[in-house]
Amino acid sequence: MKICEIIQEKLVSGEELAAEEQSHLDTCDDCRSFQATAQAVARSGETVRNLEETPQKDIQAVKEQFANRLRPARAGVRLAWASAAMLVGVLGTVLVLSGVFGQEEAPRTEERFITLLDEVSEITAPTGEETSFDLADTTLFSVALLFEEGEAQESTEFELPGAYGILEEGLQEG
Amino acid sequence: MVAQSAVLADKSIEAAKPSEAFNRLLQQETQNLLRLARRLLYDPEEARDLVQDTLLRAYLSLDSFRWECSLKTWVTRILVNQGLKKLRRRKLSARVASWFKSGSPNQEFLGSWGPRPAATPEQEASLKEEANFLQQALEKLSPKQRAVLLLRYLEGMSVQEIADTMQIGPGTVKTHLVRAVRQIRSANIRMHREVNDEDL
Repeated sequence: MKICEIIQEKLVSGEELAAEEQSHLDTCDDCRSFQATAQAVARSGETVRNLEETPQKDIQAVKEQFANRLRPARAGVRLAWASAAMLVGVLGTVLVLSGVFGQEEAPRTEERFITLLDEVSEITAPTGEETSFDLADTTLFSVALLFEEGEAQESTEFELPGAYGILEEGLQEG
Repeated sequence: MVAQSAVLADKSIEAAKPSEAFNRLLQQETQNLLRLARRLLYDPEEARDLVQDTLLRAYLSLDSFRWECSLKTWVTRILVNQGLKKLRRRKLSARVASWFKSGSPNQEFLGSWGPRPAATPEQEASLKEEANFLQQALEKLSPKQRAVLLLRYLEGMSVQEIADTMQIGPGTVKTHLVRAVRQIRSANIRMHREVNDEDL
């Protein structure tokens, strides 16, 4: 850091200058003009602080309006808390209810899956004939197809006939 | 050390009865807060609104205040932050307005506040001169520099107090102050040159 910067920082913060810095200040035009400006700003600030009067009516107005706004604001805060509590309650109830009904949905999907897998097994297994499809591959293939169809329609309902059709075609070709 | 423990004792007394401490602040500091707001925003009405908002915010969140600094420092911090926000918003709206009409926005200075009744005519003249100087000086600065300069020279805060109030490092405060003073100096030099040129 240059000595000018050190001196100027000390001048604005009110720190004492070292002897070497003081002698630099006495000879450096940049530092002296900086000091003069800083002193002028400080003096004007002090004059304004000491001599300027803030009208009592302004102070009174601020206090009165503060008091007037405080009452509704307090009520507003209470209302906000009450609303937040109510919202949390409603959300909690919705979550609980959706959990209760959601549990009913889940087994249905699982049951469909199991039924589907059973049906796939029945299609391929009972005849005992060799096909180009392995049972496990066939099952995975059909399940993947069902998933794709399900996602494409953004629905949890499975389109069983379409998947079965492809599966049957595959078996017939095999 | 003694002073520090006295400050801590003050804080613990204040912390024990926060609403009493707030009432005391309201009685003692409203004037200073108004003066600071007025010099920061250059608009008496906006200054009053800012002080009210500040007091309201402070009072409503008094429970969350942890008394790590004095109540005055905390309230001043809220005022400066809200004031800087207002200035940024004003700057933005002035920029938008300038798209539609030419000419700089009219920043009328607050003229209605006068010297204390006891001031002599000399003091009154000196005040006008100094207030004009301060006003011109502040107009040249960025909002942050203006806030730091006001806290230092109008409120008489130390670098550490400003750092606590604005939640920035003391080094940053010094840098802002040095840059602000340099900018004022450059603006003054330019102004004097222009005056001299007109005289010639």
